[in-house]
Amino acid sequence: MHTPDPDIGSTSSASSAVIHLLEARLSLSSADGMVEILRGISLAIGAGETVGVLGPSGAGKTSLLMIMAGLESLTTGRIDLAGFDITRMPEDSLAALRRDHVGIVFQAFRLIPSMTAVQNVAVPLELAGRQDAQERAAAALASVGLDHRMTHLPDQLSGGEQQRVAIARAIAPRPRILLADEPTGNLDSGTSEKVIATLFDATRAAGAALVLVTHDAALAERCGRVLTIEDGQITDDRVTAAGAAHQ
Amino acid sequence: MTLQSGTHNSTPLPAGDSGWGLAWRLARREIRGSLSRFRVFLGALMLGVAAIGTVGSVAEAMRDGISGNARLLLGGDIEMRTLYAEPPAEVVSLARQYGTLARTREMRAMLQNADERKLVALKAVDDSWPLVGTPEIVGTPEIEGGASLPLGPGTILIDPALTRAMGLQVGDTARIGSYEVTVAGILAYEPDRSVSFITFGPRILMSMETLAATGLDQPGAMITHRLRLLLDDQTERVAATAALKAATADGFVRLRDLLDAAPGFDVFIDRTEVFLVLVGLTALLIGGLGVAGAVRAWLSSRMPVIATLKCLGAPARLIFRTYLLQVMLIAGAGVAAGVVVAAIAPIFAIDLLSSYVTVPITMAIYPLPLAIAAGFGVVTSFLFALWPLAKAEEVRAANLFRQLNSMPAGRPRGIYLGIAAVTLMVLAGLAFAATRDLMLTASFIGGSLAAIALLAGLGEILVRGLRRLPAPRYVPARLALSAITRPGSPVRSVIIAFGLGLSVLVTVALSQTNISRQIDTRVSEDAPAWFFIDIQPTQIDSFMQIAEGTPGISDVGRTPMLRGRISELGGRSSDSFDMKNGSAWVLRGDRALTWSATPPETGEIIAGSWWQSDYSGPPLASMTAEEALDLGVWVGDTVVFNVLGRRIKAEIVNIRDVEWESFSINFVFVLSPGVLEAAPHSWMATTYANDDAAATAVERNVATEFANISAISVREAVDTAQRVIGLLGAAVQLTAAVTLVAGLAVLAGTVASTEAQRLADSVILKVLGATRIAITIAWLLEYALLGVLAAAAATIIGTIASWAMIETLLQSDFEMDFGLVLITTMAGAAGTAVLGLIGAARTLGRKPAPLLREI
Repeated sequence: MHTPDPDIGSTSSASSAVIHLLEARLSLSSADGMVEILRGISLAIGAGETVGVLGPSGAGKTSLLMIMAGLESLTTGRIDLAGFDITRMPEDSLAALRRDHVGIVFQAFRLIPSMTAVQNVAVPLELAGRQDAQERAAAALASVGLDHRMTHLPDQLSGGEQQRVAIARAIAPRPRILLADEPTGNLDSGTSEKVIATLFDATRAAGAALVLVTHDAALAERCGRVLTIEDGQITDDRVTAAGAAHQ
Repeated sequence: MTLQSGTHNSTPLPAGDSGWGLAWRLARREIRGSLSRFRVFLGALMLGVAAIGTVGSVAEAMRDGISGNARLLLGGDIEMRTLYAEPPAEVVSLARQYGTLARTREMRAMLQNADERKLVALKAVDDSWPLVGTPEIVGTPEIEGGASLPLGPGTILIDPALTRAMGLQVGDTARIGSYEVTVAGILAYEPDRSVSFITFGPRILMSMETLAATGLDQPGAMITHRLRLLLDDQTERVAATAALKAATADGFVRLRDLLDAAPGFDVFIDRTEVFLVLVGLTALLIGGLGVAGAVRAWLSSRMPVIATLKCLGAPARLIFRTYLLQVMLIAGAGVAAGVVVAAIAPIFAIDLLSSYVTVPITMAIYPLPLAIAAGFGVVTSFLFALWPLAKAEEVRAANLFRQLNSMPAGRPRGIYLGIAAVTLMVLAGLAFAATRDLMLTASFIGGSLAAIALLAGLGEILVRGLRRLPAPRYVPARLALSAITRPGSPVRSVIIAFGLGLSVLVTVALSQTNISRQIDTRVSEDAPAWFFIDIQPTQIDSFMQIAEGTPGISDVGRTPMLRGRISELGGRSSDSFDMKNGSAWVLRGDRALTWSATPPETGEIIAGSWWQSDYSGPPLASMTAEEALDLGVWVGDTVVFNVLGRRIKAEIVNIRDVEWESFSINFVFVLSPGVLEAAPHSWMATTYANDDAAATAVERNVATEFANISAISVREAVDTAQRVIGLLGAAVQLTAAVTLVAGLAVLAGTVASTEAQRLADSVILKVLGATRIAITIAWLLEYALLGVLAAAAATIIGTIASWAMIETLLQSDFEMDFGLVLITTMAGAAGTAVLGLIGAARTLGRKPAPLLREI
């Protein structure tokens, strides 16, 4: 097992990290008062690194992912993303940062039901004002093997196909960071395998860092590194066999 | 660990594309699945715009009809009108220099055949009549230009109404005055008949010779003389009008030209238009609550999409623009549909109106009223959609992970509140453009806002009261109560929307019941059986003997009367007063005047004092209070009358408070003795009868002795009054109906906005073992309770409004009608319950299993 560096908190050096958290704490209010969700997490994830995040329900996995996506603001601590300090960044700037540098894949796919597959993939490219949005979206769809489903609406696609469209949408802007929240949680095992293969291939092709939140320990082991979170703290951070082989 | 600031920065990234172009592209894609959710929104908007546009178009069409047919309506290019006597010879000879003249005389008279006597509007014409247009006479060949009318000596043409009322046919004989006449034809169309919804008796047309033979044309008889001029040369119009105006400056002759072809009717059209436009606007504003509900419900359903777009990097501004464009696209469709309906509907409206309005109206498309209606639709949609849209941009992308389903609460950002304030001002500006009456628009909008605030307050009190109730044991009742009292419940908007319509209904119904009861009571207690008019001074003593001598006649009142025009009041010319003033009628036409040495029996003197009974000094006048207040005069001011061309200036020395609703004879002005007695005048009298037999007898006795005296039945007058009150009530009820339809939009919006919640609730309840009947009962109770609350609020407001109207405006006793209030409340509750349940029924039919997988 890899022992986290008490200062750096990760296998990646701070200077090459695309995600960097320092003493990150998150508290949310509830009916019973403030609840501490994340309790001082420090970690760095380097470019191209694949990280699986394991932990029981309610441990703070999804909250960690939301922090990394700039969707939740830290109560205390600091977070840098793709070289930007986003700790107190305004919401629209965070949106622009996600558009350019972060791709997200959800368990429930989150495709826009009124748009075709290619239109869904084109949205972040259009938001970035790219003239070739449609072409690049088509290429991204082709890269996940869905070039024959371009003009289908989400409800005309199978669950696996919808998730592959979501992956294509996440990688189309060539982000530096890919965040996936239980991406196979809604899929059967056969379909899951196909989707995961697509996700890893796409991440590799894009050269992005992947943070994959999952309950599936076997799936986490396919990443280069596995973090275990319990009660809002990282209790284990190790390089997997796959990671070691890659190194 | 430390993060080195040198290698990191927090400079905001470029905002990317949040422009209208991208918003439009996204909106176009997003709108696909949204149209069906906006049926209510579309319907409400279409109705409101169509109503306002139709009213405006019909009013324009009628104005066009009047200005386009001004010569036909006026019966020439210039009309000179006098009362009692012909226009002076020098005016006639001056007019003759400019073209052809035609004379008519009009008066009321009694037409009598073997069985019946009926009050008619008699019109005698000379050989030149009509100068413009062609009368339609049934039973004779069409009259071509130049051919004379079949009006020989002793013949008349009659209104078709007389064939029904008296059974008269062509060739029958009847009596007018003491003269026997033969019906020569039925007058189906009379070209220069004035435009009016109300007429005083059916028309009979005769020649001047026949009128002379009837003996009705006596001094003091109220005869309106009209001299119409058709110009030989139209280029002389301005010169002729100016010359004749100068010649008639003393005020005895009233002159009208083509610009004033239908004076009272113009005002009527303007007022009706304003009233109906404001009704339409109220409907739009109430419908707006439904619009806001529909937009909020729709945006709630789009929350995952909004959050996804934000996750993908969409800035807040882009979200606002994308959804604003969609709402305005849908609003545009509703407005366009409303405009199309408004362009077509006037054809049918005019068809309906044609039986009342004698103006030939041709329908065209009038862009201005349609544009104003469209403006109302667009601005109202924007105003009511703004709040939910502004909140939509606050939806957080984090919602995608946390599954939060409710829209962000609280006020939108300051900039949106500013935009809302500006939009409100634009709406007020549009309302002013449509009504052209600042005070009326302001008071109407102010009144509506006050009513809404009152309803909102009452709603809040009722909800708080319900919260204090212990939870019922019966589960469906408990569910219903909690649905209404929970935070964010739509109860307030439903109470406002339905409450407003129901309040108007309660007010109208209670007021109408009170007024009708009052009239009925007064008719049985105070009303005379007959008004007799046109009694010659030489006849009054014999008349009194006959009337008082008829068995069963309990009382006979009499008063001398002649008509005159008020040319100046309080030092101001009558023409300078605002003709929209509530008492402008006093100045508009000829007023009945009387004189008396002693104060009238009815009417208390509230300012000044009555003259000595033997007063014989300069003319003094007594005026009624309401009219004096409206026209801004009081004791010490002067009034100038024009009676038969003679100018009489009098000082107002006292003010009387008169009950116009009573059946006693009241005059706005009563003069001191010694001023009017010398002028040709007539008397009018009232007879009170103990029973119907006595009433019939006195009329017969008077008719037998005096052929020229006309009798007006109070019963008929009361029927007319009741009919007018009914019409007014119906007009106001139209407001209530329209606002209730708008209330439906709000209810439908409410049902739509709670559909997702309702679906989830019903699924869970079904899983827990609730039957569909139990869920149905819970929803029925919920909507019924909503209806009861709205009706309760409406009853309180309606009763207060009606009480204020009856007690303050009409100064009479208000009586509560509990049955009526109960019916309104029950109907409100039942209507809301049924409509709400129909809307929610779709949800109930869904099976739980597939939905449980979604939840």
